[in-house]
Amino acid sequence: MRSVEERLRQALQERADGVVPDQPAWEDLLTRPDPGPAARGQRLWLAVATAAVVLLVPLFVVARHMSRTSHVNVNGGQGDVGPAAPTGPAVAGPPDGSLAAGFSPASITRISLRVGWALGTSPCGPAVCTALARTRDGGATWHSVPVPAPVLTPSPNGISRVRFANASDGWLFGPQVWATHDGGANWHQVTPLGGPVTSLEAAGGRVWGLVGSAAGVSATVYAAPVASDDWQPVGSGAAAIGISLHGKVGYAATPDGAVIALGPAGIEERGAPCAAASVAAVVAASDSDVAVVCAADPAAGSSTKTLLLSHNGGRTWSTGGAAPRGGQTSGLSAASTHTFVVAATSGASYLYRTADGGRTWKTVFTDNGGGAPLTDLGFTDPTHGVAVLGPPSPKLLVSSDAGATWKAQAFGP
Amino acid sequence: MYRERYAPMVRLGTLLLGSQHLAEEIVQDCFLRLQPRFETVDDPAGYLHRSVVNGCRSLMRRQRRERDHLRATPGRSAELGAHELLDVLATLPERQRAALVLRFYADLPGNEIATILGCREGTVKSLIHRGLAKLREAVGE
Repeated sequence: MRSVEERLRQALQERADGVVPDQPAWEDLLTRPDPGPAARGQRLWLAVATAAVVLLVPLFVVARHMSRTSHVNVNGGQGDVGPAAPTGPAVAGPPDGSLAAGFSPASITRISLRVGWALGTSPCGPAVCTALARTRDGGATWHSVPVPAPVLTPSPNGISRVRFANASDGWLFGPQVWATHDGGANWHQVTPLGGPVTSLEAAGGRVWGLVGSAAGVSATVYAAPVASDDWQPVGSGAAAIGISLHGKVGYAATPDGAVIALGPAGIEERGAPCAAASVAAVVAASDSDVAVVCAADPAAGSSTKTLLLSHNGGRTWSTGGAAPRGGQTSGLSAASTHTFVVAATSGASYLYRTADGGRTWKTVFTDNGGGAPLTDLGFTDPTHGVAVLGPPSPKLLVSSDAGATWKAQAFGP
Repeated sequence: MYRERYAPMVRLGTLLLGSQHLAEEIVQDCFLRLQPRFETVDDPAGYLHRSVVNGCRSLMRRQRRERDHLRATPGRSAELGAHELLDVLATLPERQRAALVLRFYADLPGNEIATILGCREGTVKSLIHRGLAKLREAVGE
């Protein structure tokens, strides 16, 4: 047996190799609002206390789940430091503009707890225009950044969602795809990929997309390095349920209910977990932990939602438990390998949360506004989550306690 | 320097704190504190290294106070894997943890660890000895 010194050395190296820093551009760091030492210490203290109280696990267990999926940068940005190398690449994006009053969010992406973008609409004269807002202070203030002129007028054939991989590389998509590689200062339309892009996520240095077929039933998986527009189809499999990434690996589901794993080597089918039901949502909770919600027994405004868990990348599955029946599942996200939030909508909109792998559930958010869609549900780290409540009263919902409570966040300058 | 040293410092901080997010907060603050002193500090890289370790240690003390009444004791097993070994490491007092990480991840000699931790080299040896003893106890060696 190896000595404890050797095992510790290897364990530390493996853990360090798994850390993909979220490096902001130096320019962004310099312009970060400085809360001062006291406030900064308080912020860190609160983060520590929250993590400890909520997770009740040793810190390294927490750390293993830090590299998150949809709404987080796990790729690292660029930039350089002042005195030693004063001229770094310009990745800070366009200067902040004034965000018009009445901004309505439709999609959210965050590359860190401070920096994020929200796509939505703002009043412009008698009409509404597509608008993109950026925050650099965790949502305390939001400022307008330009959107491509051709998609300024909202259209079902334009764009509907936003994702950024880091401070430079981002995409507006659904069904068109527009990309920026300079933080949003310039946008260009990605060469048509043969169909509408229904899902797009970026992590681990790659951006993945689902490109729909003409029939609209399934989609082909495409991928590209985040800093390029070199989109290529990956494998020959088809997927229907959106992509969820964790670092360099990810998961999606096929139209016939099979989970497929996405990784550097391509895509690989891992079997169908929902025996007599369909996969309604899939989420990567870690490199090897993946969860799905199986939907069954659909009725008016309700369905059975069973959470299934896999700890080996989807090769084998165990039943976690069933979330409340209200609503049809529209999303699933993981704050950790045992804490999940399910979004569901019918005549009302719900967020259901489990902190014990699906054994018990609580309804942590209800909106009785007529069944507004809940989209972009995701966690930036084990405690901070976001979701967008759609029309008729669009809201950005945020959680800072691993999804136990949610509140609306205002958009203001 | 920011480009080259950010990721290594975040990795070191993550090993000390067990949280990449908190490590990034510390590292970013350290870079911002270093910037106005960059021309006057003799060894900016060393200054940064010490700042990150000390920032993490300060936070580790807070973490420990918070976890003392929440911590789940790791199970004892001769077959503990890498993750479980790190779980045990996370339960050690912050100076023992820092000494082990600086020795077995950063590969620093005892005198450099002593400088960073602000103690004598003999104390470093003692911290590493006691830390390893607790890890051996946990893994059943």
